[in-house]
Amino acid sequence: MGHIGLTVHPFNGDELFQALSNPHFSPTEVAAHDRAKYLYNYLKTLKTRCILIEDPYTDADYLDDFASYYVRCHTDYERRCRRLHFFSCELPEDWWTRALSPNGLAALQSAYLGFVVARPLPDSIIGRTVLRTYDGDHGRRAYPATLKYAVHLCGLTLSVEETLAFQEQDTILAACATVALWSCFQKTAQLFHTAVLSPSAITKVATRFTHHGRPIPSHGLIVTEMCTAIREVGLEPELFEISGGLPLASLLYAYLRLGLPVVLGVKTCRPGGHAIALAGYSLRDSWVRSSEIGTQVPMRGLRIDALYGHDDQVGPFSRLEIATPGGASDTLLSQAPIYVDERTGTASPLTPNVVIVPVYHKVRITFLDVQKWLTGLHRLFVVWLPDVQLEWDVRLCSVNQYKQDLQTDDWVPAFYRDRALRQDLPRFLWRATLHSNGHVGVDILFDATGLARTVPILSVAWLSDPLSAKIRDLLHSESFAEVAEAILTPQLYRSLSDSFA
Amino acid sequence: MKAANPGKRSAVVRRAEKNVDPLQPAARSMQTVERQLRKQLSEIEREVQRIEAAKVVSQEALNFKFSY
Repeated sequence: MGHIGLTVHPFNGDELFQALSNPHFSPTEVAAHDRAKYLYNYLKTLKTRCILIEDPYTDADYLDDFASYYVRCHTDYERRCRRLHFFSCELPEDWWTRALSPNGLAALQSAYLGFVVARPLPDSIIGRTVLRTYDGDHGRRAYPATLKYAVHLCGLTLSVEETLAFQEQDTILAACATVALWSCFQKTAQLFHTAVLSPSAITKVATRFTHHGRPIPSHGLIVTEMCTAIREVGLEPELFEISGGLPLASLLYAYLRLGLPVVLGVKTCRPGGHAIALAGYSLRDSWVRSSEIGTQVPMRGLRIDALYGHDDQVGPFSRLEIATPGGASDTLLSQAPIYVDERTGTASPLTPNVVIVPVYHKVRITFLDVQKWLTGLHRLFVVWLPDVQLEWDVRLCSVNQYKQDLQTDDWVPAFYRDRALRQDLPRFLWRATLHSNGHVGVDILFDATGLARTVPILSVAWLSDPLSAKIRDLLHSESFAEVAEAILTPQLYRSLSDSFA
Repeated sequence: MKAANPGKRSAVVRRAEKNVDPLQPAARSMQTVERQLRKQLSEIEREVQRIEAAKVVSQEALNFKFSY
């Protein structure tokens, strides 16, 4: 009968690189490995004090990859991995005995930062990685596409509250597109009870119909193949081409708010595209740019200055700054060494090309539908409020999320909350809330499962009496009816008029 | 380029400083409002058409390969 080794090491670069190494990849090679260096810095920021090495460890994803490929290689690759647990305290010699008591386990849990699976492979050593995120910085950093992971360590149950699993591509069974989908499917499984496939299974299902060469060793996936993989797990791929000029930050925010991870496809200075699984954003208190590309409606994306995503060329929750150079689309900047131009020493930009959102099949209304409806509606507000900074908070939400927010958002008046909590609503909603300097003008709910051509408004809550009186008079003006229909569409015009009844 | 005037504050800032409800509508007649919106109609229609066009994903984007 085998024995699981548990050894405690102080946290420093040498110990980490040694722990990540294997017979095919020496500690010196690990020390020069970009993802390992990123992890070291990330763990330093999390104030890691010690490493607990669990050896051997059977990782289900790696085992599936091993069975699909590595087992038939002539070189002898190990079937089992090593798992590195990280703590923000030093573990005493009798940590195990202490951990078996409830108080001891609670103390261990409070210092637990997560784990990294060290794969016994050459180069692609970073396996499943579940680490705490950076702190929220007083609400600025948000990671909605995260979930709680339970971690079982020789009978002890620890957890990482809000994170999303990461791993680097092995370049054999998975390129960036596969591992980006793998990260996304972790969260969609929690949201929609869909399947979580291993990287090798994702590559296989994605390439089942359209791939014209051999899929494994993988040389990447095209967008169509990624969409196929999303359908295979029971979801629908909502696809947006960013290069055509879309408000990138507001679009991403709208889906991330539900907790949906989003795959962002970018062009870089290197040939071929790169896929990144986005999990969060940095939301400032005020606008960081005066307008967004692809819209005249000011939305919450104006306050987002960075995105956080799993870039398998960099590491978990890597930061992508949004830069708006004035061209047809936003660009992103990463300080990761891989994106730094060797000749100039400056970060070369990443140009977003496509966004793929794995959505539940009942979510049929898209961000673009809501953006279109707000285009005319926003003008009605601007004409009455010409010198006022207005901002629309547009987001996809579940009915439960909406009703929870009604109870926690301090701007929600009791009359609206009490009525809305008992409203019979569909499972998914698009919500558009007009804010200005701490005040709220209107809160509109659309049925995300409805038909776009009917403009499926569920409710309109007017929260500013003087403003709603003016809008009501305008919409009820007979001389304006024809123009109002043209600006708003007849369906939206009717719904808004009825909201004053 | 317009010269910066540090002494001049925007209307948004002035309203915030006076702690005025930002959603208090401007004093203007209904006729003025209707006329302004009529003028914007064609611009709104163009914007809506552009959004409709953005829903179409090109063949090039569908075949875009993520290869590293």
